[in-house]
Amino acid sequence: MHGQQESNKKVSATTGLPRAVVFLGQMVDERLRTNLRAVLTDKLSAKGWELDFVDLAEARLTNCIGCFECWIKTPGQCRFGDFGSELAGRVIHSDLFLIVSQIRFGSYSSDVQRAWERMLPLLNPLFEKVNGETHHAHRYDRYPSLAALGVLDGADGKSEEIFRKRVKRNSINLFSPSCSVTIVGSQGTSGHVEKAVGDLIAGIEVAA
Amino acid sequence: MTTVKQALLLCGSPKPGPSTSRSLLDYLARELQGQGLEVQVFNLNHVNRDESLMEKILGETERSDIIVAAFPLYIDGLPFPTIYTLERIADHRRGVVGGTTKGFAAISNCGFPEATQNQTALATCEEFAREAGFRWLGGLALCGGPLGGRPLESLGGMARNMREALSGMAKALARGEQIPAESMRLMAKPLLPIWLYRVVSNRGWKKQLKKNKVGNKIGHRAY
Repeated sequence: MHGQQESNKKVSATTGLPRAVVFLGQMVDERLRTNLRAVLTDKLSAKGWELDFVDLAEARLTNCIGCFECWIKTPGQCRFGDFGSELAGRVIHSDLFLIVSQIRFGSYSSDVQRAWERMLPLLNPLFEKVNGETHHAHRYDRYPSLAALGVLDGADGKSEEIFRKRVKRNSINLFSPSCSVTIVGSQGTSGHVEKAVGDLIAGIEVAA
Repeated sequence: MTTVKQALLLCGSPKPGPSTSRSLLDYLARELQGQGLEVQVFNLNHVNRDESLMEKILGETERSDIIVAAFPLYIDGLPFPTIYTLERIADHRRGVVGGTTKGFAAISNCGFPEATQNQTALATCEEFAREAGFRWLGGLALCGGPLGGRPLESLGGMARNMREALSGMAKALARGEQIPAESMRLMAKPLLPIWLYRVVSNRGWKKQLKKNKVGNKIGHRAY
């Protein structure tokens, strides 16, 4: 499909197209997952995005163990040097970091959380004041926009609210120029998926 | 009042060694034991690679009256080992509907000087409790950096608020009651003014970088 890369490849040379890294988490309904991937590919490619899908069901990476070596021993680089380290490079060289996750208790599912945690080397340990709160400073000049598509079992307003807040807070910590969140029900029809992806894309802005 | 006999404490820190979460839970364990409860504490850091440990935790979950998870804030949420364990517990208890007497509480700690940054993580814990059929007994939010895994008793005045908060929490949990507001207030109280915390912490980071002979590489871009 146009502009699509297979996962586990290294960051490619720039093509001039805006680039999206998509973390595709595991889901209860494999058909929905396949459908989401297809609709995202079609719609984002049609908008001129180059896509880099990361299938977390197949990814082999360890979770962050909070050693802080990426801040104080080998600044900017994780000690593990595994696929998680490669992912950090792919994300920081993208224009859009898109997360597709089953929502568990308002949170990302554990496989998505594990991959997300490995983005820590992209930040600087020093604290600074951002929007009246303390956050870590930036390490890079430019960070990708953040978008998240959450898959929710049944109607659960509370989980949806928590998920939206969570993604918004993540976007502050990642210095994302924009943040877009949308939710689709796990029983969603193809029409629901199309609409959710359309809404998500409409909310994405990319820094010049 | 509910009869509470057994408590299960889950240390959600991903660190293999000592951790702030474990220090908090060890103190809470002693306080709960002082209230006559039988207490078990499990580290979750390698639970995804040890299915027998997970099976044990799932079994203890069913035997316990109170479950408490303590964890550090990671990317504004629960770290991988904690969310993984909660997923497994919720899946294991799927189908359990209301009326349960089992209670769930949480302690979230973050390195930022604002305890409010733990709110989303604690909301996730509350949602877990609802989905897994537990009574939500509330959450404590700690701000202001790691304790280095040291026992709270050894930290003197620096940990006085934490000890009082956990003591109040233990008394309430032993009665099957929610964590008192006073415990929440004490745990959330910052040790230093926020601006000073930032200054002191930044000095600390720079000192560690210098000690590791990478003082000039603080902003190094590896990618």
